[in-house]
Amino acid sequence: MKQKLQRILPEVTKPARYTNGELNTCHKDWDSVAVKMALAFPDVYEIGMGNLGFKILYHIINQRDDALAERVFMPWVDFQQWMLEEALPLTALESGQPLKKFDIVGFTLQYELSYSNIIKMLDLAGIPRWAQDREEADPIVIAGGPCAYNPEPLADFLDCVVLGDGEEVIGELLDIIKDCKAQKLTRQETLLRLAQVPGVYVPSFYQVEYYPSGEVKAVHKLHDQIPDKIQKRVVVDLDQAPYPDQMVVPFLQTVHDRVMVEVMRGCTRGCRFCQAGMVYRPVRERSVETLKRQARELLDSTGYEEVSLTSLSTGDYSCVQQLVTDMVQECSARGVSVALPSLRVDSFSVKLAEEIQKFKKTGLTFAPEAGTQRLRDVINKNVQENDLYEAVRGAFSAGWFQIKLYFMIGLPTETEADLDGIVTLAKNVLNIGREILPKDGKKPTVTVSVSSFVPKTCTPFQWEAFNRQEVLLEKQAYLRKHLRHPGLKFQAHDVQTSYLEAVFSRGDRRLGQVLAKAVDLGCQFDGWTEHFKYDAWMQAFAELGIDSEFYAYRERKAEEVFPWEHLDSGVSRRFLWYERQKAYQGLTTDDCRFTSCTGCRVCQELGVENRLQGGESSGR
Amino acid sequence: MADSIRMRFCVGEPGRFISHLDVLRMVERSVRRAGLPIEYSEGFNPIPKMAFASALPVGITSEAEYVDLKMKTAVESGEATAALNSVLPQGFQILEAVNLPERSEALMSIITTAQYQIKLLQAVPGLETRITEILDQKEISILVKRKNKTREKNIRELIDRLTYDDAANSIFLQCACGLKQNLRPMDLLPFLGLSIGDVLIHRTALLVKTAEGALLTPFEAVKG
Repeated sequence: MKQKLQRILPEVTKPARYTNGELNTCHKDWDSVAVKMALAFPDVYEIGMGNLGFKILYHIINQRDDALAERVFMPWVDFQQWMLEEALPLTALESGQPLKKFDIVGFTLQYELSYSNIIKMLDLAGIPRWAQDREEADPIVIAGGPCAYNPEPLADFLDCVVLGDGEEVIGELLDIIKDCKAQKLTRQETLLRLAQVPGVYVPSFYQVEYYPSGEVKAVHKLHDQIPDKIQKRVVVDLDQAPYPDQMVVPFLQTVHDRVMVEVMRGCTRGCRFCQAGMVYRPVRERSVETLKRQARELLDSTGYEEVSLTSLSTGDYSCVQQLVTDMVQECSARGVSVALPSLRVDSFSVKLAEEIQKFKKTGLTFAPEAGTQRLRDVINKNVQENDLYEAVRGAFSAGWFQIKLYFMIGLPTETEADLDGIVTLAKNVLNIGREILPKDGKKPTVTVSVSSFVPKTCTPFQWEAFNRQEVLLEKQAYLRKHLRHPGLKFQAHDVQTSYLEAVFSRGDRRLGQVLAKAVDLGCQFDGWTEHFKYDAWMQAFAELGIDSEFYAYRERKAEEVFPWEHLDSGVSRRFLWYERQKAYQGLTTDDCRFTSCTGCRVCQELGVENRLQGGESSGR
Repeated sequence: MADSIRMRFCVGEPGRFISHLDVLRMVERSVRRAGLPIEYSEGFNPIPKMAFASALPVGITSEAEYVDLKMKTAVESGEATAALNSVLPQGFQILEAVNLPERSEALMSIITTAQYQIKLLQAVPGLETRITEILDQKEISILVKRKNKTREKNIRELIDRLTYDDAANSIFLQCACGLKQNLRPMDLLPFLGLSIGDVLIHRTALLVKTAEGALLTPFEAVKG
């Protein structure tokens, strides 16, 4: 096999995707380790290697003497062709062992458009794609990540799904599988034991009943011992949670190719469209001291030239000023730069960015999300128009000259006035730039980037309909027309891919057949424009007689049983419904970090709380 | 002792599969991990002062890669070698190093020639005939694509020596390598009736041709 690989590698693009041997990889003796887990990322190496959760799990598992974790990514199409010709199965990087030989294959569910790749990877590995067809010797196929809150379209392919923070569960999972192996328990017995671990969902133990209309009637559990509802797992004290002190340093340039420290997890701003803002609650922060130590250790072990202060909204970290000041001081002494990947729309954040980026100021990105105050109130994006103007004024004054503004179209209650609002905001920002920037220097440019709102599970907008494709295209055309202006640029996200995302994000188990069919029709790498085959997808739906519009365009009834009803993020359905009502009244909800409890129930349900590191609150 | 160090390093597995840009980044990060006091360029985007001899084409192993590292303060070449070798990733190793005198010529501009061993994975009949045919020709053209432009390039004149060694089941190639003229050994393979999967290519030397026609290693060139 190794010889075959040597033959193939010179022929393919970016062979370093498949070679392994990068710095800080962990190579264990295959035969002396009790439990073997392949961490599978259903996209190419360069994307997967940027994923923080992947790095954390790799570290935790390999810390154990009785377990090993190895990496595997989706091979690019040219490599797949060679695999086919040379009859090579999909193998893990570190040992080169076929995936089929692992005890566990764990997929990360990052986005709906990678589902086809999961099935393709199982096919390439020679692991039966349908869970029910797997035999005793086949690996247990598990999945986790943000899309785990509705894994139903993948339910028939996965043996189990983990809800919530992986570092909480992974140890128990490995212990059980190790024990089951030692006791020679059957696959079914093993799964039954796993299904009793809090946070672990075994889809085959739950049966879904539908109404003739196609809506879900009920979800029935098939064993008494297992819970009716699977509740997510939460790291209570992130500051004490395990974190890698070394990370694999890829040879290839990957996304987020730098030291990442996770400043905090969770966000309670409460944007009503945002799934991450709901499912990662509550907010748990690491201390400045811990973060500095972690950055130091990682810089020593990797040699990276940049540290990124990662979180959903680092500007909201309670000690952000101190963290940035300390980190910049420490890093600049060793020639390392600091990056702040997520910027809030206010002048405070711009000042932070300025502190970090003393040189090379080109572009800054802000996300007002909607064009008018009315619509921003509807989605609970608590950004005032003046916050944005203050922020860009600060940015232009500090020397930045390219501003990118992110918006969504197709949001609930949107009208033409909201589209006009986007145009007005963009033009006002451009004018501020022209006022501030010296006439003889760089000219300001404002890029308006527009994506289509996709209703997500576990959010107040989970009941909403996705805008019809033709409507979204009209809206894009309208914006394109009105943003045709010197200094303004317009980018719009592809509507067909968003449509597919909308179908699968709230899909049910019946979509599994469609997924399988689509893969058979050649669908893979759906997130890659050059590989996205919309027509093949539509053919798959048609052949199976499944109406994709039922999933995308239908507004859900208030009391409707959702396909993911038995999966619990901790945020109560009542709260989400209440938030939706408030949205339609244009009422905003405060951030519970800065005011009082807003009643989402996550803390009460899970026995946790927001854990801030104190210091002066940076919020408004 | 001046502040620059010239190093020769080898590239093995899996290092041969990474591009020159990736090697650059890898060396920069290794230098950081080793804690060597490398000097950075001034300006908005400080870049470590490292100069490589030549970009090794992807897929080729080598025992003759060279890099000059400029330090902020003098470091003895043996110390720098030891420090780097303790942190380099699999497939890379510093083989020798010298401290450079002041004002040495840039590595990249002096290299003219490379030597390769092209090992055949299986015996290929008729190779010697093919080699003779190649050497008998005045012109062997290949098409070179650069962005949207395609031009013809005569690679025959870039070949200094081409021999076959039965015992080693290898072809030995000496050819032009450098900024002015350069032959990628894989471009010669089709004329030998071979494809990249049939061979393992190994760079055995990078050399400097003097005005008198003598071949010097980049280390020897320093003294001269």
